[in-house]
Amino acid sequence: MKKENIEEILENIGSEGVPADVHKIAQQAFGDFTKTLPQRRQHVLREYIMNSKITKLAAAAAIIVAVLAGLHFVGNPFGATVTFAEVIEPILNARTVIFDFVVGSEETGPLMHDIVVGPKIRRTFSNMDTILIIDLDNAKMLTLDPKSKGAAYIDIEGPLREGTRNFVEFVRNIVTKVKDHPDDMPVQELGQRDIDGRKAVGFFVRGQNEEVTIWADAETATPIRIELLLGQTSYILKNIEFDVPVDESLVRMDVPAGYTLSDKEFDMTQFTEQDFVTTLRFWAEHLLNGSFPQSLNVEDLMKLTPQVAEKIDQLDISEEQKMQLGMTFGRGFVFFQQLGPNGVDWHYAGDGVKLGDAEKAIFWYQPKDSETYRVIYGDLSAKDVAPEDLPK
Amino acid sequence: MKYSERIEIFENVRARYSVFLLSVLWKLTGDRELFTEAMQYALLGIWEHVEKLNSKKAPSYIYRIALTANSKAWRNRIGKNGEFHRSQISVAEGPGQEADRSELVGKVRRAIAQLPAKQAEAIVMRYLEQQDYQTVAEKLRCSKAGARSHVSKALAALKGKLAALEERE
Repeated sequence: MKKENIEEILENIGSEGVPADVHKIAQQAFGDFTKTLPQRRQHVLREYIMNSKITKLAAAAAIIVAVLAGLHFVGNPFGATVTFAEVIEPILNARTVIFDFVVGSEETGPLMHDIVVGPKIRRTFSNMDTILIIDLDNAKMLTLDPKSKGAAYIDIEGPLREGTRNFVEFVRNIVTKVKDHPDDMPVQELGQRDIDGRKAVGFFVRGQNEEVTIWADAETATPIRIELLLGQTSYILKNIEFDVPVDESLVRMDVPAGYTLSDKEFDMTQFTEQDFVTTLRFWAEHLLNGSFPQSLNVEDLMKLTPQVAEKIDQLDISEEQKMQLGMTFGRGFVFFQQLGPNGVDWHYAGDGVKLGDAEKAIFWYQPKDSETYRVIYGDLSAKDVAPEDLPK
Repeated sequence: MKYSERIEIFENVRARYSVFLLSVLWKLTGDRELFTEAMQYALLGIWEHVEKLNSKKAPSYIYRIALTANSKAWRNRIGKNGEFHRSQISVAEGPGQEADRSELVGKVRRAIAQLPAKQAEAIVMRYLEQQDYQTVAEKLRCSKAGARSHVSKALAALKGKLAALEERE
């Protein structure tokens, strides 16, 4: 046989797709093998073979859910004034709140719309169809995809639950601490400005890892805009309405009629550096032709969400693998997002670095209570490095 | 290493490389039974070498594990005498030319399973994964010319093995 013929045959083999039933065989092999190993709760869920629309939903939801984690509050108490007390009164006592929520730049950042009823939140997105209904008391989240009519529950017990505090709850916590410790950090008055045609008075407070600015209607003292800086990420709450009548069915955790519920529950209870590495790998491999992003921030990751879900859906992999990938990407996102608000020192240097470059450090952070840093390189290997040996 | 750590690494490796294993093992076997066997060997290989897979050399190890798994599956199929019967590979039914072609593809796959590790890796990277020589060189940690050389030698070796097979039959 001629060498050229062999090459042709090899090229044909290389361009072969994997038949659907072979995906199932692989899933079965994975499942069978894993059953021989001790099961851990967070891995059990990965073994399920999901039908297409549920998987797609899970992948999207897993990514979307990540944005919730950045709201973990670890700040210091601060002071208050009488006027400030008037402003915070609806924040403390409102049962329902509706607001828009921007991550990053107000002009370009993704926008979410929240309806808060007690411990439950209904969240929708400007750049995704998915609806999230979050029950903070029970650490559960219901995800709904109106297009595919798929529905799934996600377990958010643990760090995500801790971090998944709606902004009103977050501000409530701050305000409570102000009341308890009024002299620790005084509120700074910012004077007046016009916001959406209304005269507003502003108050500013700086904590250890966060800055909070509240703008309230000058006549009614009702907060109309809240700006937060948590770590390196900014958030804006606007179009705020307190104690408006809300149809409570909007935050019901039951699956609406016409939706198909996955009989499995997804798991978002733990987030590791390895998840984050998978996020970086996927980003570089599938969205940036093998390069790492110019910068790394929550706003960009959120904007990326629809593309990630689409890319995952296009991959020639099984539905289970799509689900796994989406979940891992989401967990990696959460891992990253938790760093700033938790006061973890981190630095990104991946701009211009190609995936696979083992010489260049692209990201480093100092885990809590660690004397050394974890440094991730362009080939996505990681090691412990003393502070004095960090890249300059 | 603690057992729980081994499991953690295994799960991570499996999640990261399952797509690669699925694609490459299918292309190398082209047969459902062989594929299943190869996949089982691959998972076992990952488990056995899980410590090594927690390092930056993990991608290289994965190639070795996949190719070893493929070779083992083929060895089991071929039998002790090394003979390879037409009934033991997937052959398309239908017109003779198509069946011949299918048989030939099966022989090429079998021959790949018998190549030395480096050559098999080069063939998988260049043709089955359709990567350019620069990428193959980076993965094999050699020069571009070195990568071309590995591929060329592998093609020559394949040709030799196929000729030997034809002679035997």
